[in-house]
Amino acid sequence: MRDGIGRLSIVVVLIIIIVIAGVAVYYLTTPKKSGPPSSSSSTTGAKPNSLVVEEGTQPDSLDPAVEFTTPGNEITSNVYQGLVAPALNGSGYIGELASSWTVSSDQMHWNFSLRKGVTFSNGDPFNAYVMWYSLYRTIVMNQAPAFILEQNFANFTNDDKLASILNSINYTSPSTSNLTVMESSGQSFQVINQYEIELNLGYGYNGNSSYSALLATLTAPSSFAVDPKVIDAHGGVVAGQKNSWMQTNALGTGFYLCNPGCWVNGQSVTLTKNPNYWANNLSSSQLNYAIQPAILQTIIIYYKPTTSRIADLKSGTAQIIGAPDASEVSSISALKAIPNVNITVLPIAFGSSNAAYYIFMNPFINSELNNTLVREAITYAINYNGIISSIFSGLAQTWIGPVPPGFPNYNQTIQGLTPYTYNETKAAELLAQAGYQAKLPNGTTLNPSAPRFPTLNFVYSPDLVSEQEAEPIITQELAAIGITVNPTQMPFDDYTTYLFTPTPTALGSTSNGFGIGYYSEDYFASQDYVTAFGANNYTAAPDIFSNESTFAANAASATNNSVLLEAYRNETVTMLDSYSFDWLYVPDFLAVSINSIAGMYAPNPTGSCAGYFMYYNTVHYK
Amino acid sequence: MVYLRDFLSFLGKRALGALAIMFGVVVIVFLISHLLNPDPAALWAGEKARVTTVAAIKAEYHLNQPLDLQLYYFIVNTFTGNFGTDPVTGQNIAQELFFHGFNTIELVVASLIITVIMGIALGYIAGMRYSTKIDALIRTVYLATWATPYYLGAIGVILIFSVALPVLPSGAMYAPGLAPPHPITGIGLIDSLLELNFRDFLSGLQHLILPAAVLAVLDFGIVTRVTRSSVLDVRWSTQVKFALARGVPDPKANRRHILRNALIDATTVSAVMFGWMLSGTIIVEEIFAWPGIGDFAYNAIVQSDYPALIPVVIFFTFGVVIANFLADVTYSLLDPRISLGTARTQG
Repeated sequence: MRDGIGRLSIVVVLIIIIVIAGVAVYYLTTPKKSGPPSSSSSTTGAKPNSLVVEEGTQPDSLDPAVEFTTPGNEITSNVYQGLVAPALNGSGYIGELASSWTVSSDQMHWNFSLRKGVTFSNGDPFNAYVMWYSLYRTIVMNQAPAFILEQNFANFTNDDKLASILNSINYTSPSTSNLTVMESSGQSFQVINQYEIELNLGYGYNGNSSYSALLATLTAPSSFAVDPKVIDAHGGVVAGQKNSWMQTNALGTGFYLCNPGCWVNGQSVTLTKNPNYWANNLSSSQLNYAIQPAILQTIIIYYKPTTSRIADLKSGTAQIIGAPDASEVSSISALKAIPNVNITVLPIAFGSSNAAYYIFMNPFINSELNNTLVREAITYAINYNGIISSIFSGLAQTWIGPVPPGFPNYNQTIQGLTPYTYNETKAAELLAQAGYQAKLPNGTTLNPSAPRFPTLNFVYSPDLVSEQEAEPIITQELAAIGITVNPTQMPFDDYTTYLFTPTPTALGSTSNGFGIGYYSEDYFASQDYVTAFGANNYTAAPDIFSNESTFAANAASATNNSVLLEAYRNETVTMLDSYSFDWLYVPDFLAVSINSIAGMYAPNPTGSCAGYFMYYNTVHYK
Repeated sequence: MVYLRDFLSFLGKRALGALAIMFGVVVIVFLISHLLNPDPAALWAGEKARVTTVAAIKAEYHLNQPLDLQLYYFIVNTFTGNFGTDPVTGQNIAQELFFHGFNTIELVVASLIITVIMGIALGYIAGMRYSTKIDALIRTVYLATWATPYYLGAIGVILIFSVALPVLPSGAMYAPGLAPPHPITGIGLIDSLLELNFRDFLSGLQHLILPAAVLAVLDFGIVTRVTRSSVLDVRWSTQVKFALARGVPDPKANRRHILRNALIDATTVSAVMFGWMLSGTIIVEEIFAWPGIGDFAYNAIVQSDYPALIPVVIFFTFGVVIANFLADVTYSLLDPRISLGTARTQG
């Protein structure tokens, strides 16, 4: 007798299979919308009032004095505001919380007049006292971005006394003694009156000199205005410590709110239009892009892997996504196949901002790299265009540092200069001239009686896709002329620590003086790169020539553009001629959004989160 | 018949054993964490901490005491849920675990339900259809899925069900714009039902399908295999033959005897699956942007947030221990021989 239950089970399974197959056939054969809608209008004609953005990495913090990632910048830039914002045309700055400013002739004293009527989203007033508090708070807390202010302003890091003072002042109606503190001269931040504050340089670790990129530093979140009353109600300022409430809550003067619970850790951040935004009633002539009220009611930013982002863009769930790296060619191909989606290659400044790659050759660690001929040979041994073609399918460009491509003054700085080129024969000849055996492309050995070039450790991070793909190519190209390298992987955290630690060594290593390095900005300023490469003497940016740091310092303290350009030019030519670095490539950066989205202005390339802009207030549906 | 006294005795022994294992785990985690970093206070304080801050943390968490006292306080803090403040997020770690933990429980329980139903059903069918094409097909399917890594399976289902056939969302817990339900139990689906918020419930269910299915489909194989083996064992066992000899109709013999006895092993392995699935959540939650413990652990690893990682390890381990304990309890209820501690007499 057959098993009744078994027969029944088979029938049930078959029915399930038929149903699933039927559903699948229905979906496969029924015409349906593919990709996001080409028009933003629904059947009623109303436009959507919310936007879904998907990116790969979530913020590290919502506290502008703490966060130091571009996803964090993205949130804080929409909830908080600072004195100035970058101008739309890419050169210069416009007032955000400042209505105007003046600077002394020696560029050491910057006087900002503040807008009146500005309030936080809870109604608390913004004024010079609040700005004074906010700037000192960042310094006293001494978290990751504090150095941006500490370059030029007083180093009160970990100062309990100042923290106590900050917590004791009434910023709405300060007493006479409060005013005495805030208005006293001879300090970095000096209140002049309720709506005027002066920033006095010369107290930071740059010493008693002006700083050509000061306004750029003030666009960073570390200089944003925070509400002292709110912070005071949630633990106040503690020297050297984060504020746990501010880590996951945000309350600023900006056009969006991050309501309590807005950040679902590991999933999303939701921004809601600020109904009490102080600029809501300003006339259009009083507005600029950085302060105009938001258009869309809700911005939801999800943090998902590339595949999910592409899926959601295709299904219409997301309207803007953080693009894959230019080296992720298959993902880019998948994006291009989606209808009604814009994929735009952004100006190279965005790629530079994200990461500019080079090979470092530290002669203080590997003495054989102290020979200019050796460094020159290495630069000629690498096929830069070949790497760009094979890894990026052309979506990258060569460069001449230290000012990165697309940044202010880049074109003037490199005028008449030629990037390093590939010439295997010349590379071999140079290596032979340096006193080592070398191999020509035809197999001939030059200097057969000379010693072989010592094997070098070749540092790179496998966590960076382009480096992982470039390493075997470079290894092979160096081997072709007679330089053997030993690929040395470093986990990303160790790698970045190693790159940006002062020479001669870090992590106990004394043999890793050669590898691929990269630099990405701390704030949008050419000076950031010039100082990093020329003056900070990092492991991956050794000061091979003493005048490199002089040129960098000259640039930092330049009081006019011609002096600045001269310093940049001197630095660039010195590094190029001495082969201090082998400038490799700067990948392109892509913007990906549906066709019906507009208003994504790109004034500040510190946008490697959604990709290319910071302010959501101007974003809207067409 | 299950004797209450014996059952309670069995339960007590198992509970004591579970507690002993948990205690041992805490000791091992303590030793390993100190081996990895002799100065945990510096980790807690963060990268740019002052000497005084580090000293304050040492005093608060007794890290300036001898090792045996440190261990004592570590055990006390673990069992009282005092894991300190996360140096990266600035939040109370216990609260973070609480929030993320329930999201993971929701996911893993859903997956386990699917796994158990699929595994037992298919294992039963395979066992009853031993050496047929159906048996071969089922074994092929579960071996293939079992061998598939989580990341591949997760990306694969997204490509199929969110890209090619956009019928299910690719991640998150709720649709964009939907406010999650108020946390009553901590489990989103239950909370939304309690609030009669059917929109959240349906959205939550829709978003739960893919990640739960990934965990279930890639893990059901072992349940199927064990069930199949149990069915085969029992099918030709003396009991069933005796039941048939007594004139019990064949289907009835199947239901009462074969399935019940097969369930014993399936229950045991299902408890093991709970711990297995917990470890799988690290990959699955990250890919599906599911804000659970796995995602929390992933972010802690990426950020080198060791103070947050330590309680995560303890959470996972305790989860496995508790699951095994519950399996033992269920096992004893299904098979009275276990609680009695004696073999059932034949005849």
